Amino acid sequence: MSILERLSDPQLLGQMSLGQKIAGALVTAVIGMLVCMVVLAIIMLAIRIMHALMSRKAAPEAEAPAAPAAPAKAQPQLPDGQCGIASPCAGKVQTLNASEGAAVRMGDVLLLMEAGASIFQFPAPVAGTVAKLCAAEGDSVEAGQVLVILKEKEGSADA
Amino acid sequence: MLDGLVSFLGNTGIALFDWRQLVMIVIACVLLYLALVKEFEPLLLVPIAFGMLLSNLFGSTIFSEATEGSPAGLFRYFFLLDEIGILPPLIFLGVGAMTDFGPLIANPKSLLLGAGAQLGIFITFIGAILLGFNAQEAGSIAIIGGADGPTAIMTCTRMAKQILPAVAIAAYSYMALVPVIQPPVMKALTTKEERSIAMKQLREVSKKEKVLFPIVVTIVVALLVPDAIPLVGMLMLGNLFKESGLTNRLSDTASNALCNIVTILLGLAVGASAKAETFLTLQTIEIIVLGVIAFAVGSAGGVLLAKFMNLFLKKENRINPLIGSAGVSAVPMAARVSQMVGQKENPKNFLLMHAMGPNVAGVIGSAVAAGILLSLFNH
Repeated sequence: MSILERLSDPQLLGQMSLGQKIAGALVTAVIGMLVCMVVLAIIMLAIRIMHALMSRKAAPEAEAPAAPAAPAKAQPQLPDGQCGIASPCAGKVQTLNASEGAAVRMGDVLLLMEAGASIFQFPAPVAGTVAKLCAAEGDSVEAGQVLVILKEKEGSADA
Repeated sequence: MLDGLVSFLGNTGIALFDWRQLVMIVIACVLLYLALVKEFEPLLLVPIAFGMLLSNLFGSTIFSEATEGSPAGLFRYFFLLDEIGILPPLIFLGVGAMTDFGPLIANPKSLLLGAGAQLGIFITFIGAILLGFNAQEAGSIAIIGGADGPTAIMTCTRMAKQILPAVAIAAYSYMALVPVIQPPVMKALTTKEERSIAMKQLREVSKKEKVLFPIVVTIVVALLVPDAIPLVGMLMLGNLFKESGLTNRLSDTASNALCNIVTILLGLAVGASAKAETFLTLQTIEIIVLGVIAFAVGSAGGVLLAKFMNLFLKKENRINPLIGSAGVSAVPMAARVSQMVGQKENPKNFLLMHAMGPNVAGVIGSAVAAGILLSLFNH
């Protein structure tokens, strides 16, 4: 009778020594963890293969889908001393706490966004003034879209 | 006539008073307080706590078994729907219809983190065996570490019904406590530098990939862990409803109306099964302690695996280990915790979408872990 069967029988379990119990539990844990890893790793490979097959087929058109992703990378192209806050995911702007020209401190919450049934805060990454608000309350925004542009304050870290 | 009056009085709540029921009523009221005032998972805890209240009121027959001549109590029938395995998979259908697997498809490495965070389940299994639980009970307690209500309920009803209320209540309470349990574990295991790692923006995922994903996952899981199929299969069907774009009515019903109906039935049934005789035992306390260990070890497992993977990854592809802890499912709270802890270290860092990958992988991972435990011990 296997050690696992003995573990699951209350009567036989009572007769097992501590060492046997530990051995049985360890065997279960190792088997469980390994199988779990293998199953999810196979799914990972499947996704990779799927993606590889698709991108090979779509290769001639590869230029077209690259274009919409560009605004996401527009951030570094802002003039020196300005910093954009981009939305990492699609969602809806719920509340704007700042107005253009307002001074903000690092960590001030500039806006609240609703995505996937939860609400996210966007704190100011630097101290400075709000140079431009690129979205209004209630706007639906895409992943990568810049929501607020801040003008960084020179010198002191805190306004 | 006096006899009639005496027998009527004998059946009122006051005459059937028992201190243990009073304790249960107090527990139910505390849970209601947590749900309604502290807003701890109100959608789940309100039905659970109210079911508990109703079934423990003095002389309540709402959860009594059928006897000759009289049918069983109402909640016993709700419980039957859980017992024969109908309700949890239906919730998974709704979860699938609500979940966007995009971040996971864009970064398939997340799946490994989702598996790593199941470490909590298997470590807790060892702990529970050492405390004297048998394998079925130990498996049901361990699955709390999957941080997934329906999975825990499904596993526990199949293997160890007698501890279901304690397991379900522990699972849901800890899910509400994710923002309290996880951050200390995450901070203890990572350096400041690791916590500030910024990750590359995720690639865009095509619609075709999103439609194929549920089909591929179902086939892989069915081949390897058939016992996980009721949960994973329904999860993926719900997701297919959502992503196909042609079955919006079905996906709408699955994720809203159906899911809410099932939550009410399941919550009441689980709450009602918490009867004083079985709930007020030392076992319940042990289960609650093991549950928090399961959660903490699971979070640690994800973080440590992410650190381990970083040893093999090129610098620009490194993973912020904070997203590893999101591998315990608890969607989307665990991902939000990763975001919160990461942003504290580096305010420009936005980990949320990266954390959603392991987070949704964790749902698949814990269902697979449940399937493994069921196939090992459910005879």
